[in-house]
Order: sequence, then structure tokens, then C-alpha cells
Amino acid sequence: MTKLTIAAIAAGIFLTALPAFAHVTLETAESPAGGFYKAVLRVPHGCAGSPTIGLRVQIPEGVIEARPMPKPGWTITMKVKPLDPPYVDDGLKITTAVSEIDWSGGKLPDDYYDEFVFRARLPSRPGTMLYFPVIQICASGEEHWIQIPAEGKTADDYDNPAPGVKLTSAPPEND
Amino acid sequence: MAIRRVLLIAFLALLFGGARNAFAHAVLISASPEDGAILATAPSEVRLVFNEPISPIAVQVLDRNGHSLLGAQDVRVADAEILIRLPARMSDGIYLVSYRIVSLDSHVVGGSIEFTVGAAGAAGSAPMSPAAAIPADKGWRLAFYLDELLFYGASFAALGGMLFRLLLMGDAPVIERPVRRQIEMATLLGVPAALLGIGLDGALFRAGPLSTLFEAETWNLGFHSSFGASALFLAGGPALLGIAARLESHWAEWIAGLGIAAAVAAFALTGHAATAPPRWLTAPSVGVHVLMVGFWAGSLPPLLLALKREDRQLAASRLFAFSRWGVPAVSLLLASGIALATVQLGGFSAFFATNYGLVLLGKLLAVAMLVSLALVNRLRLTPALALGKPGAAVALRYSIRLELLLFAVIVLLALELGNLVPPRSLNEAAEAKRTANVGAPSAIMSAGDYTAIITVTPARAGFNLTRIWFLGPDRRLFDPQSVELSLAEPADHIEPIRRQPLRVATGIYRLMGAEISLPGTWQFRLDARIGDFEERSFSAEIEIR
Repeated sequence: MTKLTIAAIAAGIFLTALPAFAHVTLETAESPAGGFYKAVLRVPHGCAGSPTIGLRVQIPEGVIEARPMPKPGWTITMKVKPLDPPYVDDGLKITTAVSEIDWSGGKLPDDYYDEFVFRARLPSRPGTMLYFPVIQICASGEEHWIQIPAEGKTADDYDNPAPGVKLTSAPPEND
Repeated sequence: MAIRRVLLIAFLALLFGGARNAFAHAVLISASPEDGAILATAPSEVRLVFNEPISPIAVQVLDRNGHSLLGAQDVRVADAEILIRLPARMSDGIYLVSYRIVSLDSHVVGGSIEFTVGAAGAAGSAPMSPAAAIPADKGWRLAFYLDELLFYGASFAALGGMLFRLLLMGDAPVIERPVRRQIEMATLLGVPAALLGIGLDGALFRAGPLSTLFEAETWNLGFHSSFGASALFLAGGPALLGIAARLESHWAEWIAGLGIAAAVAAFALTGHAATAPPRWLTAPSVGVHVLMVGFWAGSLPPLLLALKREDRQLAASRLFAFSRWGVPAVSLLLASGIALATVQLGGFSAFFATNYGLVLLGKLLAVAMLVSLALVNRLRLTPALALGKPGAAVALRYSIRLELLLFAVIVLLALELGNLVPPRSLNEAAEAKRTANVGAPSAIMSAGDYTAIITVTPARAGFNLTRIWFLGPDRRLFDPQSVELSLAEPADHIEPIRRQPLRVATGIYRLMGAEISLPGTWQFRLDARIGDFEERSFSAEIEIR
């Protein structure tokens, strides 16, 4: 491998990674369909210099058993919707699903970084992308990370893409 | 024979350029509901679209009994549009929407449309008279009209008298005093008349009772209209000329020059010329035109006096001198007249097809008679007077009196022209209507159940009006939480220019600006947030010429 190739690969890695610094993204970009997923939402900055004081994430259709991880300094609320048809897991009937998780009451200055974590079971649709639209609420202004790429496009084509995870066909971990 | 040719040219010049015109009256392009519409259910709002930005003075929606349906908050204006919110419950029947607005050139334009709610309303009731519903402004219009006649007439008398004094007076002990008196009288009448015009203009705007004239608000309104500025010149010009006529010192000529400039500027400053593009051409043309007309008309009374009081030879030489000055004056009339005619005439057919054209035609007829008289005076009567033929002086006096009468008719008709919508504006309105409704490139874009419609007018490189409509899944107009429009032209490496269109009404947005800077295939993308977590992107390509 020549130095040039290494430099090119390094540049490639750096360049593809670059957008992730600017947007709200998910730490783990791929996860087995039908399995549990630890979603880590990374918030790299506020809204145009203003500190982040709230975060709302929409749990998409098909994702069930979402549970946020407690976060000191932040109040967590959840919106729940009925699940129709109910989901049966090991004889246990699940009739509701969390549709939205909100973090509020905290304060994340613009020049700090933080993560917002929840866990959920992904739908069994291997090979597809799943998006978690996020609204970042700041002391002044909001950022809506909600753009879902159209057919043939990627998140890079958008200014405010929704964080996404690719569902793989690898066997789900047992837990 | 050169003089004949010049007079023929003068005749043609006046034929084409005589009018002191109004250029940019606002014209109603479209109304929703349309005038005369019969609707099954009551509309929620009325929309009036004009060809240029306007400000409303009075907008009313009246029911059959003449009761107003509107509150103070129900009328909104966005540039060239008036939006009227209607009450939630409107019974079946006929409704009249009347409006009085001020256009860019400060002219008050009024009109009305009517619509009917429910079929029963159309069949069962006698139509009401629209005239009864429009606020009474006729008295004010007449008062302003008469006042205009007074101060414009005075301006011409002062201007012409002074020009005669400067150019043709020579050594004339007999007529010097009367000419000075002409200027002084014009000052005494013209200055108060011009100042009164400010109040009358304000009263015309407000269309109130007689007591309106004595309210400070009225005068404030008149002063801040575009007439206000020219009124100061209309008063200042004759005032300076009056002072100059009395002064004996060497300052008199300077003050006279200033007075002439002010009197001419008053005409070049009025709304008619001020809003006619290209201004560098029209404003000086109006000024030159007025100066020449002032010279001609204002010289007639002193010439009449000269014929009465001076001896034959002196009067004849004076008339010859007047004719000599007439050559350059007529050439300038020709130049300015053609310039104005080119700008303001939309087409030759407009002469017969519009009221404006007919009044203009009438005026040109008077001008033709005037020039014919001038030809007779110059080629027959003045030489006859010089030769001492009997009756020549009497015939000349009659002829000059007739000329003065014709000038009065011409000024009257010119004022009437100012109150009519010129064909040029009508053409512009028709063009705007055509491009707005049919010719404007548009695209219908859909994203899921949602639809966005976009039109670009005139779709040429430069200043454009982009209009956007959003329709929800129920096919009704709706407001997204936020809207962003980005414009790009990849072929010429123009990266997306992001703009937030202005909300005009529910689901209707617009953007005015010069973002579209060059011709080509432009990509329009609309990002509309329809819910907290949901966004729809619409895109279309529109060809820009």
C-alpha cells in the first residue's frame, strides 16, 4: 500500500465521517432486524450557538418496547400509543408502544457534547433503513433533524437528516 | 416656406404629445369570488388583486340593506392584494364589495364587485345600486378639479407672463403694467389655490363630510401624498414670479428664473410623470412641454393687450418676434410630445377603443384648431397688420381670444385625462393578468398525499414573483409549520439559494426578489414541515428565459 493510498483512505474516512460531527446521529449505524438496539443519540452542538435544553425523538412504526436510560439532570417523559395488532413475545401480549421520548429540563451548552440513550426492539425488516426523527430544542430556536432520504438518496444529500440505523439480516443476539 | 413646414411639424407634435397624462393607476386584475359570481355557500374571504402595490382607504362589504359586515381587523393588505375576512355566518343574498385605494401615483381609485350567496338570493332580490354603496366623494372630486383648474391656470399665466416679460417685452411703457398685473393676479389666485389643494386632496382621500376639510388629519394626509410635494412647487413658483415682477433690483431676474424652474418642476414632479418609466425621459419631457405651453398660452394676453393699446407697427413686430420664438418652442414641443406619446400610448387602436383615447382625441381636435388659428395668424393676419390692411387688428384680437378659449378647453381635457385610466396601464394590467393566470410557468408537485403548486412570474432572469400553494391530503389549503424554498441552477453552478417565502394567507406563500439571476433550468425545492417530526420535500424544474 502506497502512502498515497493510505492518505486517500484516511481522507475518505475523515470526509465520510465529517457530516456526523455536525448532525444529531446514532452511534451504532447497523443493527440486526428484530433484535434489541441500544440507541445512542449523539448531540454535538446546540442550535447556532444556543444551548440545547430539550430533545424529542420519534419512535417509528414497528419499534416496540422502547425504554429510555435515566439521565441525571434531565426529566424524561414518554408518549404512548396503542399497538394494533398487539405484539406477542413469549406469550406476553404487548398492547402499547412508546411513540415519542422527550428529554427536558437539562442544559447542554453549545461547546459540550452529550448522548441521549434508549433501548428498543427493532422490527423484522432486514435490509431496510429505519429513521428516528429528532427535534433539538434550544434556549433560542429549534433544529428539526427529520429529513428522511428519498429513494436513491442518502442522508448526505440533506441539511437536516433524521438519524438512521440500517437493519441487517444477522441473527439477533439473545437476551 | 420653412415656417409652414415648422408649423406643420408643430401641428403633428401637439397632435401626439399634448396630453399631460396619468401613467400608473392601479387596476384590479382579479377578484375572488369573481365579480357577479353566484356561490352555493358563503366564501370565507374576499381577495382583490391589483397590478401594483396599493394602500386601501376604505374597504367595505355590504349586504343588500347596505349594512357593513366588516370590523376593523378584517381587512389586510399584502403588496398588491387586499384580503377581506368575511363573517362566519352570511345569509343568502347579494353582497357588494367596494374599495377605494391609493395607487403608486397617489391617485384614488375606487370600484366594486358583487357576488351572490345561494340561488335564492339571485332570483328573489332586486339588484342594488353599486353607486349608493361607494362613499360619496363626488363633491370633493369636483372641488379638487375646480381648484386644479385655478392653480394650473394661474401657473400658466404667471409663467407665460414672465417669459413674455423676459423675451418679448422690449421697451414698452404702455403694456408693462398690465403684464405685471397678470403675473401678480396669477400669484394672488394661484398660491392660495395650490395650498387649498393640499386640503382638498386629503379630503378626497378620506371622502368625508365638509367638516373633514377642517381637520388636521386631512391636511396631513394631503401633504404626505405625492401631490403635497408638487403643491409646494405650485405655490412657490407663482409666489417667486410675483415677487420678481415687483422687484426693481438686479435680483429680479434670478428670482424670476427660480420661479420659472419651480413652476415647471411642479408639473414634472406630480405623480403622473413621477411614476412613468423611464423617468429620465418622461419628467424632463413634461417639464419642457409645460414650459413651451406656458410660453405660448401665457404670451397671448399680453399680445392681445399690445394689439389693443400699441401702435400697429410695434404690435406687428411683437407678433413677428413671438413667431420667431415660436420656432424653437414648437421644436421642443415636438420632441417632448413625441417622447411622452411613445411612453404612454399602448397602441394606436387605443384612441378609439377606450374612454381615455376618446378624451385624448377630443383634446387633439382642440389642439388642431389651435394650431390652425396660429397658422392663419402667422401667415395671413400678422403680415396684413404689418401692411396696415384694415380689419387685420380686429381679426387678430378675435383669433387670439379664440386661442385662449381653446387653451382653456385643452387644460380641462388634460385634467380629465388625469382622472382616467390610460391605455398603457390597461395593457399592463392585461399583461399581468395573462401571465398570472395562463402564461406563468407553473409546476404541480406532490409528495405523498400532499401537493404543492408553484408559479413563477414573469419567469425571466431578474425580478420574479414566485407563488406557492399547499394542499393537504383533503385537497384543502393548509399551512405547514415552516416552509423553505431553495433555488438552484446546477448547469451554471449556482448552488441552492435558500429563502423563506412570505405567508400571504392560509396555504398561500410568495417570494418576491431577484434570486433568479440568469436564464436556464432552475430547480425549485420546497421543504415544508407538516408536523413536528414530518417534512415533505417538493421539487420541480422551471425554465427561466
